[in-house]
Amino acid sequence: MFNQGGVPSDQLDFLKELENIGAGHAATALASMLGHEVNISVPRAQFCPYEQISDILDGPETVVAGLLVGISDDLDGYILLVLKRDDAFELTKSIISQMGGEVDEDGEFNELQVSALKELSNILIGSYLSAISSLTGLRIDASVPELVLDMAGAVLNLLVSAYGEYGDNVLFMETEFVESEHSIFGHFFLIPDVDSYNRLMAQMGLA
Amino acid sequence: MRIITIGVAEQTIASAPDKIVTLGLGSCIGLVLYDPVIKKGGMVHIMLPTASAHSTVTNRFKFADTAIVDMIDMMVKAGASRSRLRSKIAGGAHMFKTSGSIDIMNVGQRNIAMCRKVLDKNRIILEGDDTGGSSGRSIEFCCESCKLSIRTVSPKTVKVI
Repeated sequence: MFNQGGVPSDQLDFLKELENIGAGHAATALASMLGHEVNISVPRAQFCPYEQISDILDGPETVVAGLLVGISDDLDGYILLVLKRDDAFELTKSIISQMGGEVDEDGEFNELQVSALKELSNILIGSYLSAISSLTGLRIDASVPELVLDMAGAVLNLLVSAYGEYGDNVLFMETEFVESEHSIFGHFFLIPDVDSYNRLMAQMGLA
Repeated sequence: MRIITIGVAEQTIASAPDKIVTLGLGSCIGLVLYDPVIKKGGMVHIMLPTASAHSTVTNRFKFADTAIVDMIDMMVKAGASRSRLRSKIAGGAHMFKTSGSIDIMNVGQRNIAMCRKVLDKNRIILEGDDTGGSSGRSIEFCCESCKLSIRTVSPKTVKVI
């Protein structure tokens, strides 16, 4: 599955659909948080070689905000949401000014922005998970998000560690959120353990 | 002088005045083997400690045990003296604390332990070590000086070993 050759196209279509519905819910949630419209682009879902993963984020040294949530119950594993640091900064600035708060202009994340970012990931990941749940009927519990600001390569090492034993590919999904003049790329990585992935596909009759 | 950059599970060997770079190490390890007399160095970007029973090993440089053994052979074939080989390692960070069903959270520590064990077993002295912690690292090995510089972005630091 995670080795060369990838997955059957019907499984990929299902994952795209999942991404589409999840991102749709997430955009609605984001719009109500920001107080204005948010559009989403056509989602992407693919298995790609791990060496290409960090290129998607402009290289392994790009500083990113990685938000990790552990999932359990019928589906075990993780969801990782990755935003470029500057996108995350702008996004939290909009959220906080919408709430009437202030942001330091020194370019560093303050405490309020960190909580806004975690709340944002709760909402985005929550919308995503409820889409998966309602499509599949699987029950999924999520942990509290953990935020890491560091090099993309280091943050994405998680995927490589999770699937490196099985092969050379990782599952990767991407959605572009367009929020007024800003275009923000949200990269979701659904990281089910291999048994859970098979369970998910079996549930959908795609195994 | 050339600067050669290697990616995940890749390796290269170079000679002075060249430099070898690998970027954004998290739980992965950047391992350098070098011969200080002929100023030749090799670097490998290791992902995991060892292949497990269900792995199909398509690339031996992914795993610490096989990568180190192969790198030793390659260095000797490239003219290095087996008895003069030294090593430096960096990486093996613990990026996220969240625990979950997949046993990936202590990969960094297991990578470090396996590198040390395999180097020791092959009687190669570990001259320098910047491992563990919770920051990503970019590293550069200078074949001329045999120094390894390590850069982190959060917090911003530069260290030379």
